[in-house]
Amino acid sequence: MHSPPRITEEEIISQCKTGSLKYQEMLYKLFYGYAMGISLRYSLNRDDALEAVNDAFIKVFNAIHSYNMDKPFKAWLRTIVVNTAIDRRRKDLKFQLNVDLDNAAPLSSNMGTVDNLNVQDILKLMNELPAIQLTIFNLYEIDGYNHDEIANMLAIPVSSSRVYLSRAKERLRKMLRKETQNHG
Amino acid sequence: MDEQLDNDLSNRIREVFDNFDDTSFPSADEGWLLLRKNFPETEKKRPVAWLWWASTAAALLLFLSIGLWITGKKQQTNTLALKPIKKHTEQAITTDSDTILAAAPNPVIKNNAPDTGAAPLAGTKKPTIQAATSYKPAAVPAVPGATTTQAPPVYAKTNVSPATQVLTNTQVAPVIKAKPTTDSTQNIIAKANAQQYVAAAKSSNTTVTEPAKKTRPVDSAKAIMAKTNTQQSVSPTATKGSIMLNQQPAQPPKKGMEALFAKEQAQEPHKYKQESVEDKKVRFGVYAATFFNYAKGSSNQVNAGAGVTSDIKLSKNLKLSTGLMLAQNTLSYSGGPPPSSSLDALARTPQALAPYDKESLFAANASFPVLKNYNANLIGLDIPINIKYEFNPQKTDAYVSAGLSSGTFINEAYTSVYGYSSAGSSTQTTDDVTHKSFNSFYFAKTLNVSFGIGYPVGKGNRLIVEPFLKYPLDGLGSQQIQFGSAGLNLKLNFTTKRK
Repeated sequence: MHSPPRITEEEIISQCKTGSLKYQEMLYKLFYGYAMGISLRYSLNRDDALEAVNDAFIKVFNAIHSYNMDKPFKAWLRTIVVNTAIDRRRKDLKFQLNVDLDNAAPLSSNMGTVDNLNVQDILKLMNELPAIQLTIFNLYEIDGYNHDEIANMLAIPVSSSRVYLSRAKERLRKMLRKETQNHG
Repeated sequence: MDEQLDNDLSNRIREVFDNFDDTSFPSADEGWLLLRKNFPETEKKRPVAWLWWASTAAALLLFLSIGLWITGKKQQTNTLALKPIKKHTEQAITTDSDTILAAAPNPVIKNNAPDTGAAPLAGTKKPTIQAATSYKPAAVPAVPGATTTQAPPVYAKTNVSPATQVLTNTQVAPVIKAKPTTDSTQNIIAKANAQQYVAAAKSSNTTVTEPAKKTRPVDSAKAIMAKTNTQQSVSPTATKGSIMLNQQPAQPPKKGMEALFAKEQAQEPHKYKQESVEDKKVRFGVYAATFFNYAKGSSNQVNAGAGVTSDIKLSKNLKLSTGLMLAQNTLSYSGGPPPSSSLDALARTPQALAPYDKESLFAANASFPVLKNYNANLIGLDIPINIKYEFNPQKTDAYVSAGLSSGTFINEAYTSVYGYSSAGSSTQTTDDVTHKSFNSFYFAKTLNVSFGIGYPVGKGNRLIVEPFLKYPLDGLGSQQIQFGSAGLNLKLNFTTKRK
């Protein structure tokens, strides 16, 4: 059976460069899930994450004419989503919230080991972190930024970036151990 | 141990999120709808902003041109006011002689009727001298024998003997040089002595064409002329004087001030006529238009525009009317593109979107798109050149007008609305918007026909109601859509008021 040719990512991006709303919609829907996945890690909830994603896509559409087709689009989009999400939470980053671990939301009951952590468990864990620690943990551990870049992005000293990362990890460990003990 | 846990945790998080596509809630469609609330809105605001800026610029240009025009007209009026007086030198001179008569404090002149003819002669030679002599008591001792009361008899004698006249002028001249500003004083006093002036004028047969107040602007000019005459040799002056004396009796006897005003009135309409004729050569106006756009296949859309206009008089009944109009034109086609357009993109669209038909990269969008609606929004800059025929320019502003329009489009926005239904879900729509600015200039592609009726509004302004029709002769804009418009212009034509 003859299968019609698929529209490639490159074709969609090329059409987006002409300002076609139709192709912009295609691009949005193609990368929506990916962008939400990134945004959720930096946001308080799904609504915030969606707003960050939409803001990021508006930036993408407005700046897509400057996008270099030789580089992977996902990486470019990821950078924009991360920056947009951080910008939206920049206010929160100024306040160092000390969350009481006792008030932390319980993780899933089947979470025995780290390998069993699913997306929801990880998001719950991460949401217990103060905003600055969460952001630095995300940037460093998942999105691959180094401390110099993080310090530059968040306008903080490099040493502070290291300290916050260290505290984030420590807090995550405590939460994991606590959960393990509860389920053990 | 802690480090190991940290590494395990980081690796697990990275593993989970690296290829994580979250489409659970809200869905991509919901997300897109939310984005559309902000993203297309910013684009839709552009034409409005364009319209605002263009309208502001047009208004500024209009006020500037009106201001310049009024300023130019005022200068022209001053020139016109001087013209008739310059042409009638004799009248101007006799005016001076009137002033002299008015200055005479006693009815000496009244009793010397035959001498009145000498006054203009003397005035021709030295109008300002006489004035100074009459109204400057200080001048009296300076010029022995040239006293106020004695002046008219001296002039009378002068007429008889040119040599004496020259002598008299020579005697008075230094006084004038000493008091060069007596002209205005003279006129003021002349006004104050209006009764004496009238009495003197009535009793004498002096030709008096204009009242003293009318001579004021020309005083300096007359003084120059008088000085020039003084510098001439005696014989030409005397000749001129004699000519004037000869002319004087030839004119029928006047009835004093009545004749004066009658003559003035006879001149006034002529002057105003010249000015009003000058006014009507170019007329400016502003107008606002409400109209609907029509095109084959499109539903009629109500729109608005505004512009400036200028009417240039070609003949008694014909005017060339031109201007600049900024107007928004919208067309809406349901179910297909404009029949006359060259919408290649639209024609290609079904093939381009064929992959959506069955299997697609985006399962959610897997459907065949159908053009549901096509909208064109064009903000045009129209330059009409029409010939206007006025039925009776003196009485009414009723006219018919016809001509052609050229122009360009400041902004063109074409929106294609596609509809396609997802498998098992509701119908979705997609908009495809194309923007273009100043894409091309069309020349004489619209036929204009209109007629108008004017009503007076205030002093010199007229409100004109003008139904109009614009018929397309060819396709317009980048998509070459043939569309026209019909509606109503409300025009305000300005005419400056003469002072």
